[in-house]
Amino acid sequence: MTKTDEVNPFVLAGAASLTSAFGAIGGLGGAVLLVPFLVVTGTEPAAAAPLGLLSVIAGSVAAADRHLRERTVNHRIGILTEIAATTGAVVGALMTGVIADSVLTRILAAVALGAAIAGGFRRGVRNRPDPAYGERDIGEWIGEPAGAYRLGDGVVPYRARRVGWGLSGMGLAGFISGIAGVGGGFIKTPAASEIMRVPVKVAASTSTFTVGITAAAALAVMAVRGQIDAHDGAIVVAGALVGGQAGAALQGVLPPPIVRRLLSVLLVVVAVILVVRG
Amino acid sequence: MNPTHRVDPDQLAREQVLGRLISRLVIVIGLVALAGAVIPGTPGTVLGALAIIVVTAVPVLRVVWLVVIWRRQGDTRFVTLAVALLALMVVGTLLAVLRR
Repeated sequence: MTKTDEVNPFVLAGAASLTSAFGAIGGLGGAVLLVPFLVVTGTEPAAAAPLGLLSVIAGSVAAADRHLRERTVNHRIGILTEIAATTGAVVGALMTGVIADSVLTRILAAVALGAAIAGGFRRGVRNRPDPAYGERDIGEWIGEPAGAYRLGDGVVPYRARRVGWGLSGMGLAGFISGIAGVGGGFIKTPAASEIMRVPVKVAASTSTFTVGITAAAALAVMAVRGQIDAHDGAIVVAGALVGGQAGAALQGVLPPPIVRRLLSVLLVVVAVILVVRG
Repeated sequence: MNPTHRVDPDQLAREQVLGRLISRLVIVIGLVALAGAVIPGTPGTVLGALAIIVVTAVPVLRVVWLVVIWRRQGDTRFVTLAVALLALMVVGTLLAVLRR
């Protein structure tokens, strides 16, 4: 028996697609919207969590091609931060069976509200183009968590700073990912851009890459525990793949502040509904 | 900024190839997932499980791919970090098996 019987398959696919698109635009991971939506529409949190992780993985995979072509993803920064995030994800996933559904629902409400605040208060572009850097500098740099990316007609060099604080934020993001089945990207992207001073576009693309890894680690744990329904999972994968590609394409068109504000409003609504249903 | 930084053109070229490969894989996984969603019974379940396994493997295989690329560049520090990450994922799964 599936635990998502109350959700229409078309609604599930549509929700996975839409939330994955939003997730890919801001590097947030769509599960932060999908999991609360599933819980609100009658799915048990323990069943919604792996579906959320699946949507994050599929969205991450779908967005990869565009982010690689634009050279906005920095794998070295991603791997460095992912060590902390995956540790947190595994610990969180191991605790999912221990925590009661009512507590998990409150955690999800807090997660949604936290994401709304993070998205609403996040600053725009901090790093500016440097005329000393050109086309040959674009990409990630060997041996260091640094690189350069194209912004308009210029090239912006960057380097990850305050790594210790940044890794702490990533560990927290991973823990939330594992315990609640969300991608943790709503913490990862601000942690990379605001704490580590990585340009927001690079932070978002790198976060989209790393949330896929974190979610894969947490999902493997849930698979071993038999928490995944293959039929519902397939619906979510199909929807999230479409949404992830659309979101990555929109990322280059829509002004990020508008998307983040819209997302913040949605998340506040989700958090309120979760608290009321509590 | 460090004036001695190096960008590997080979990595950039390989990233473009990887991107195209993933984009084709996305189409295949999407079709298999769709089949898994609409076909009833065991065949649908098997196809759904296959789509889930393959899509979950992609981010992990991307890290393995990075290990190979960075090893060729002699970037020992980041090869070590990537291998540590893969080991961490294996340990996490094993812990879950032991706790089951």
